[in-house]
Amino acid sequence: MDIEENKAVVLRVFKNFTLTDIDKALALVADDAVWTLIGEPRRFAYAGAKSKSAFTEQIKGFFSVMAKFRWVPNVITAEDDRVAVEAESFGETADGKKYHNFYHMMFVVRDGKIQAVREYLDPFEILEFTGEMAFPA
Amino acid sequence: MMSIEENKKLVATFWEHFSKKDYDAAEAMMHDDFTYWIAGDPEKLTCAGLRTKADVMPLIRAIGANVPKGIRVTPTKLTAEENRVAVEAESYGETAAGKVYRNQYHFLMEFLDGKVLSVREYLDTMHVKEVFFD
Repeated sequence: MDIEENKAVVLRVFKNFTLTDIDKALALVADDAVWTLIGEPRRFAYAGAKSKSAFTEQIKGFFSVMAKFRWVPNVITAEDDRVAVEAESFGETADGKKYHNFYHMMFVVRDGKIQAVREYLDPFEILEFTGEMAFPA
Repeated sequence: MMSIEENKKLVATFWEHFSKKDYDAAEAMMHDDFTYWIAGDPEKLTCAGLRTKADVMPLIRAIGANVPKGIRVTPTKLTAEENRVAVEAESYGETAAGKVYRNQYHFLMEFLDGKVLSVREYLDTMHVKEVFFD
């Protein structure tokens, strides 16, 4: 596969990473892929490496409280089998609580599928959204 | 335009200077229009947000002053295209107060005319706040 094909796979993941089409995004992730959220699991429970099924459960749980969600890719940098994507998310619950985060994702793409994901984001935004932390701290 | 291989060498050199606390040398690699952006909400993490070269150097030196042997930043994976290099990296440092700092980063670095034009830094904000800003 070439870089442009790898980027196209990643852009399809973002395009389908919505409340209605998330299964189409997950279909582009290999069954034995590992999705790692960077952070210390003992302090930030969402961090760590997850199998596709564990990640699926986590993202659907997160989506279950959302009325709106968009994941917007911004700057893409690709080489070999890697696609790095700076991105931003915009979510909102039914009662208007907003979720926002900044991401620098690393996707490993081979044979038209995502083989590995390393997700770098701001844990404070998640913890404030879930109510586990309040700011100013 | 500079080559991808040239840019990757600049990435390595920049973080070598930073790791050795050679902040003047790191600054000399910055383009006049250099900006440094740390991902996050400044109301949650005071160092988050966008800074010019003039604004970021005092922050870098202040953090460096708190870490006697410096923060070693080690790039682990470089992904380069056009004028950009995405840099996955790890760091290690020990503060004067004895706190251990170990973070993981995904930087996006942009290059222009042989200089670093911008750094966008994505990191574990909880860890940096706990070690440096609490």
